[in-house]
Amino acid sequence: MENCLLRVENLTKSFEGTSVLRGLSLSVAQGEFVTLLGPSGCGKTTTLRIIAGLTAPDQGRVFLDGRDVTSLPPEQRPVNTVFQNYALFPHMNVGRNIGYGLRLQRTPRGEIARRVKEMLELVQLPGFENRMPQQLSGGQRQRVAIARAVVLGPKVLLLDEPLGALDLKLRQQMQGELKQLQKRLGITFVYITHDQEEALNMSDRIAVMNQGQFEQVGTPEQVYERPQTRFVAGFVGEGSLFEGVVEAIEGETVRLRAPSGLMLAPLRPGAQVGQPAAVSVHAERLRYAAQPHNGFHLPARVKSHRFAGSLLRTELELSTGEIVHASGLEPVSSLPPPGCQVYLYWARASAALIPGDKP
Amino acid sequence: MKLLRRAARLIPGFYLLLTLAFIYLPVLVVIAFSFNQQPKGLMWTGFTTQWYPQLFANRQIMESFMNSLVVALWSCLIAAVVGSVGAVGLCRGKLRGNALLEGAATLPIMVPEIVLGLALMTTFSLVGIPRGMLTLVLSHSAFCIPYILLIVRARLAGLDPAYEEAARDLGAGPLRAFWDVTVPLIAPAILSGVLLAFAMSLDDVVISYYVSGAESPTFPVYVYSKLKTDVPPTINAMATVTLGVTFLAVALSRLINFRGEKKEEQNGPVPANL
Repeated sequence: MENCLLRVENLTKSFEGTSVLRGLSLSVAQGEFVTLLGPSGCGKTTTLRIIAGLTAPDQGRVFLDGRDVTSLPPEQRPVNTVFQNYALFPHMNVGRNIGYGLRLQRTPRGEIARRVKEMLELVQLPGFENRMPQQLSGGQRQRVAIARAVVLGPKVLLLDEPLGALDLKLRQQMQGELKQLQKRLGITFVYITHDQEEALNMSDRIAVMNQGQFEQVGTPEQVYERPQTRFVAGFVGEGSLFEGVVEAIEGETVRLRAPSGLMLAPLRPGAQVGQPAAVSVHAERLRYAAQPHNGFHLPARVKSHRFAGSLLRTELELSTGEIVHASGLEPVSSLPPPGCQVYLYWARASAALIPGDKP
Repeated sequence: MKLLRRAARLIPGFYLLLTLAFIYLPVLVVIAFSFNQQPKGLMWTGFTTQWYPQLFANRQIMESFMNSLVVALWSCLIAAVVGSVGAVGLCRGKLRGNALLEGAATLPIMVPEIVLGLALMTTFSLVGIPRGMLTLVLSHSAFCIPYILLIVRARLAGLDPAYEEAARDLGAGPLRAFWDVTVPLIAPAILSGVLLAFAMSLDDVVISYYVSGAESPTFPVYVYSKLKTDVPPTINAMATVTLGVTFLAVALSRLINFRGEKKEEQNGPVPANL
């Protein structure tokens, strides 16, 4: 990768015999916002700690700016961390928390005060120097933690679920602010979350992690529209996965035979006639009609419609008994009532084929 | 029936009152009699504060009291350093047999004082240290260390490692991070342990009796030796003063420990994560 700033190569780590990371490699470009997305326990925090230098990998290397930093202690790495629970020093006020790193660098006192003030303005907490961490709300602590980590001008900022402890409204607001801050400072972010919406919202690239491995690394669009594994298809977005066998390949179209019926998906390298594969479709791309449509033949029965705020969620039962969800914006009155026989379909391009057998 | 039930409801309170009385009544009697005109015996003959000035005017008593303070201060200082460092070692070290080590470190609390005193005295005479202030300080340090070790260790175990990691992340070396972050956060526990140890040292008789020299009795040893021959009229006042100092130390210790824990709580819970 060009202007690669951070590279981890083949990281492995196990704790007391349990393998947490199994050969992880990733390159991050200067100024990029990369998110490690995965369920809890998938090893994302361990990866972050290895980059920070707080945990040593069993194998593998970490490169920063082309320099091997694997054996450097955390204090010698040009990397700073926003900890999951912020870890603000409870015995220091906000100003001293933010100025701590500068003090270690023997920055003159006036200079420290000036930079702390600047940082507090940047995170929209002007004049908070003398507050104690215990006196701050969750959102305010979070901002102070960011200011403390950013003030040293790190090459990479590591953020470990920084919005996890905040309520939904504040979380959404902070997502925007963090993204803006990152753009403004031009600092490379490595961000951890288990919230796919957060990841899709903020990232330049997402690395979807599962059981200590990357399932897929790509832009939010790539990860969402073209999941490469069943795990990614299931974890990112809300959708359905149909297992079947490739029946025919016609130009750019694959015809898949599943127990519930016949379906279409765009061709993906690796697909072979007669071989198993899966098709993933997001709920908002599922359509249904009274007659077979578009070359699909997926009979289903409408089970229920559920009003979910901006969306209407429809539950459908396939001939095999499988339940799938479709979501749409149409009013209930225009939809077939529960019990109605329909045929499920979708635009060919909106599905993703995942070649290969189920793991 | 109603009356019975109402009476039944009073039982727990009454029980508590009885227990407290059992514990504190004798103490209160001593305090009260320190203001009694009649120096000995159990007859109340009138209020006076004369025993207090008399107590403070007695050179031997005051000297022994000073001895006690000096011994307590030095042994607390030594125990604070040794105990705290030991607690950090127990908490951070990945030594084999940590549990055994911890048990061994806190054993002196369990060993009967009479045995510990004898052992110390024998050791000192074997090594050739004459009995006096030095042996007192060494012995008191020995039984003060476990208190500080236990309290500091409990505090360390409850401390989120992220604080020290954050300091490292911001550029502090391991020692600097420990000094800047961990020490201030365990300081209340150290102080609390010191005050508890101070109280322990101040009222120790048995061990001090073995290891103090003839010229350097501690206050309790002096009182004890006087009791055998002739009860001095200031005995109750003496007891009250000792009680006051000890009570103050323990109360302060509790207060400091309590506040330290509260501060930590306010900083939010710490979820476990890989």
